[in-house]
Amino acid sequence: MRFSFTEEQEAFRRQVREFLAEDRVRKAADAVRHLPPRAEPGLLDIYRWLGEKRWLAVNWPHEYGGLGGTIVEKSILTEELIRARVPDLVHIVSVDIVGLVLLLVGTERQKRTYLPALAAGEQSASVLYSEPGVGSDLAALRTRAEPDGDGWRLYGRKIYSLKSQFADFALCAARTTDSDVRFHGITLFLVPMRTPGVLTQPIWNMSDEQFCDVTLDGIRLTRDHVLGEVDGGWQVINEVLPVERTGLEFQAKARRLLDEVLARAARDGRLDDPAYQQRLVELDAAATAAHLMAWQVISDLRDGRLDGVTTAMSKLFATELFKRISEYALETGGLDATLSGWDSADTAGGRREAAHREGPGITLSAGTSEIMRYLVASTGLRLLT
Amino acid sequence: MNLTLSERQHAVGTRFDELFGAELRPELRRMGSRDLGAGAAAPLDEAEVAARQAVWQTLCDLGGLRRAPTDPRPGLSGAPGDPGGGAGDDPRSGPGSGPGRDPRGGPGGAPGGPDRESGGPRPAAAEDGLRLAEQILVAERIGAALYQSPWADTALAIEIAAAAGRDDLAARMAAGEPVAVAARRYAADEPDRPGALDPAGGLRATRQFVAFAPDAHWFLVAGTAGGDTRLVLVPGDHAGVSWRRHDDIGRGDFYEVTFDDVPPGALVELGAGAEAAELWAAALVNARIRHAAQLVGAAQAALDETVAYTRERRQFGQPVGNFQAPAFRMADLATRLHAARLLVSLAAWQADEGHDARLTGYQALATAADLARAAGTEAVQLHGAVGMTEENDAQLFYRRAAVDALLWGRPTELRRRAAALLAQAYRD
Repeated sequence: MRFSFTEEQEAFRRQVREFLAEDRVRKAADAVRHLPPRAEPGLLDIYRWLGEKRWLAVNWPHEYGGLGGTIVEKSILTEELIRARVPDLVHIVSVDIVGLVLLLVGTERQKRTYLPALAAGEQSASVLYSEPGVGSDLAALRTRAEPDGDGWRLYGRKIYSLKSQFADFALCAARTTDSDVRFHGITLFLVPMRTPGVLTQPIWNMSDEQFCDVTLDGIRLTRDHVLGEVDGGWQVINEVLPVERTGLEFQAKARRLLDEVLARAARDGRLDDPAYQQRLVELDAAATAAHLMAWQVISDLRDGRLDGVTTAMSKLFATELFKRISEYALETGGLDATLSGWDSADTAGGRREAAHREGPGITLSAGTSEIMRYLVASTGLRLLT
Repeated sequence: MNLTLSERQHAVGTRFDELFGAELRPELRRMGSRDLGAGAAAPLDEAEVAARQAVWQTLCDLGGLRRAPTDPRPGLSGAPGDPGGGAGDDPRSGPGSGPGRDPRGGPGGAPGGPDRESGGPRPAAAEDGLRLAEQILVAERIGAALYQSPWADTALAIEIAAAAGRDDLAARMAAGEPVAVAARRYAADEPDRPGALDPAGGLRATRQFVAFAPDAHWFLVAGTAGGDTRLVLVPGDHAGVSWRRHDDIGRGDFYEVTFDDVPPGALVELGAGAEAAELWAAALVNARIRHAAQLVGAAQAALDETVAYTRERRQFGQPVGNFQAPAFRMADLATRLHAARLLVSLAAWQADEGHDARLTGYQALATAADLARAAGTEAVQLHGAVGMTEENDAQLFYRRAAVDALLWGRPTELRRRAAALLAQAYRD
C-alpha cells in the first residue's frame, strides 16, 4: 500500500491548482456563485479553458481530445475543481458518465462525432434514465422506441434528469423489444436534445440544480444513434453505473464542507469545546476514510479491476457522510448557517444552507443508499439471495 | 496511491493464516477464559498453559514480533504538542489526506525513488522484520481469533527497548520473552498518564489491568515520580512481585500487580524524564495503531460469524439473512469495517514513513473501538438468544469488545486528543 501520489501526479495537481487560481478562473467561478435564484451553471468558460489544455477529459486518448492519462489524473482534476468551488456537475455528467459510455461501447464514428466536443468543453450531455414511476427499478422503464423504417421513433417521458436543459445530446434508455426477461430489450440511444420532438421543462426541487422533465415525442433515431447493441443496453448500464459510484466527488464535497466547518469551529472555539469536538473529530475521521475508500476504488479501476462491492460502499459511505456533515454544519453554525447566499446578513456565501439542500439528492442519485446496501449485502455478504 | 495490499503485506498475512486460521480458532478464542466470578483463585489448567506457550512460541518463531529497522521513534515526528510534520506547502495534497493540515502525516510524494505503483519490492520472509504496515496484518488475525496474548505489550516494549538503545533486550523479547505493560495505577486511568511511582529506595507500585502477569518475563512499568516519567523493566520472577487476577467482563487475563520494594539493582532503567515521556508517547502511537487493527480483526470476525449464521438460520420459511432488516445492518457494518481498515492502514503507513501519525492513529483507534463494540452488539442481536449462550462466540465478541475498546484509551479521550491536534492545524 502506498498513500501518496507519484511525483508526476503531484505535479499535475499543482498545475491544475495554479490554473484554478488564475484571475479569469476565479472571476468566472465567483460569477456562478452570484447567479440569481433558480439560475444554475451550464457549460462554463472554465470548461473550455480546461479543454484547451486537454484536461477536461484528461484520461481520454489524444484523438478524442484528452491527454491519454488515467482515471487517477481525472480524479485529481475532479478533486481540485470541487476544492476550488468550480461547479462540476455538467463536467461529470458529460465526460465521466456519457463520455465514458461512448468510450466503452461507442463505434469509432460515434467517438469521433461526439467526444471531441465534450472534451473541448464546447458541448455537454445528460442522462435520461428515470421516468415517472421508474427510479431504482430501471428495468421497468416504459419509454419506447418504435420501429420506423430503418430506425425508430422515441416516445416517453423522462424525469429527475440533471442538466438536460443545457445538453446538446443525452444518453437515453428505452425499450426496443418486449421480453419476458425484462433486462433484455432495453437499448441505449444518443438523443439530440435541441430538436423538435424533445421538450425539456424544469421541475423545481429544493437543491440548486433543477430536475428536468423531458418529453420525447416521436423523435426519429437511426442505428447511428444506438450505443452498443440493440436490446443490449442493460449490460452497458450495469457496467457503467459502478463507475459513477467511486464516491470520489462526494467525498471531495464532504471534505470541502467539513474543512469549512472545522476552520470555523477552530476560530469560534467549538473545536475546543468538548460538547462539539467529539462529533467534529468523528466526522473528520470519517471524511479521511471516505477519501481512502474512493481512492481505493480509483486505484482498482486504474489497474483494470472493478469491484461492485467496494464501489457501493464508497458511494454509500461518502454520501451519507455528506448529509451528516451538512447537518452538523447547521448545528455548529446555528441559525446563521441557515441563511441563504441571497440574505444580506449572510457572510459565508450561503454554502452551508446550500449544502443542506443538496444532501438528500446525493443519497438518491446514481443508486440510492438502499440499493447500495442491497449490493453490499447480496454481492458482498451473499445475503438476500 | 495504491491501496491494495503489497506483495510483501500479502506474504506476511499468509504466513500467519495457519496459526490463526479456522482450525485453531475455536481453541484460541477460549484460551485464558475463566468462569464468571472465578476471581483470583482460578488456577490455570496445565494443558492450557502448555498450549498457550506453544502458540506464543510459534507466533514469535514466525517473526510476529520482529521489527524492520526504522526510525527509533516512528510514531512521533515532532515534539509532543507540536503539530509536527510537514514540509509540504499545501498538505491538502498530502498522503491519503485531502485536507489542509499537517498532523495527518505531512507532505505528499513518495519519499525518495521513482514511484512504483506496485507495492513492495519482494515478498517478506520470516527472517525479515515487520514494518507497522505488516504488523497490523498480524494484529488483525490476532483480533479475529480473539487470541489473548502478550503480543501487543511485548511489541510496545520492544520499540521502547530499541529506542533506549537496548537492542539486546529487544531481540530477546522478539524471540519470545513476553512483556507485560504495567502503566495504570487504577483501572480507570488512561495509559497516557501512567500512575505514580514511589521513588524512594526500591520500586514500590501497584498496577491494574496488567495483561498476562503470570506469563511475563518482564514487566514494563511506566510511572511518574515527582513529575518525571520513568520506564523500568522488572524481572517477572522477582520475589517482590505479586499479583491477583481481575474479574472483568472479558474474563480474560488481566491482573492487579504489586511491586513491593524491588531493589534498584534488579531493575533495568529504560528512560527517565522528558526523554522517557517522549518514548512513552511515541510508543503509544504505534501501540494504538496495532490495537486498532486488532479491533478491526475482531469486528470482521464477529460480522463473519453473524453473516454465516443468518444464512443458515431459518425463520418464516427462509434464512434470516434473506430479510432486508438484518441484511442492511450487516451491510452497514461491512462498510464501516472497510472504512476503519483503510484508516488503520493509513496510520500505519504514516508511521512507517516517519510522518506524524498521531491524529490518524487516535482516529483509527476510536473508529475501530466503536466498530468492535457495534459488531459485538449486532452479533448477539442478530444471532438471537443463542448468541447469549456460553458456547456461542457472539457473546464472547460482545464481552471482549467491552474491555478491548477501552484498553489503550477511551475513544472519547482519543477524540479529545485528536481535537486538540485538529484545532491547532486549522488555526495555523
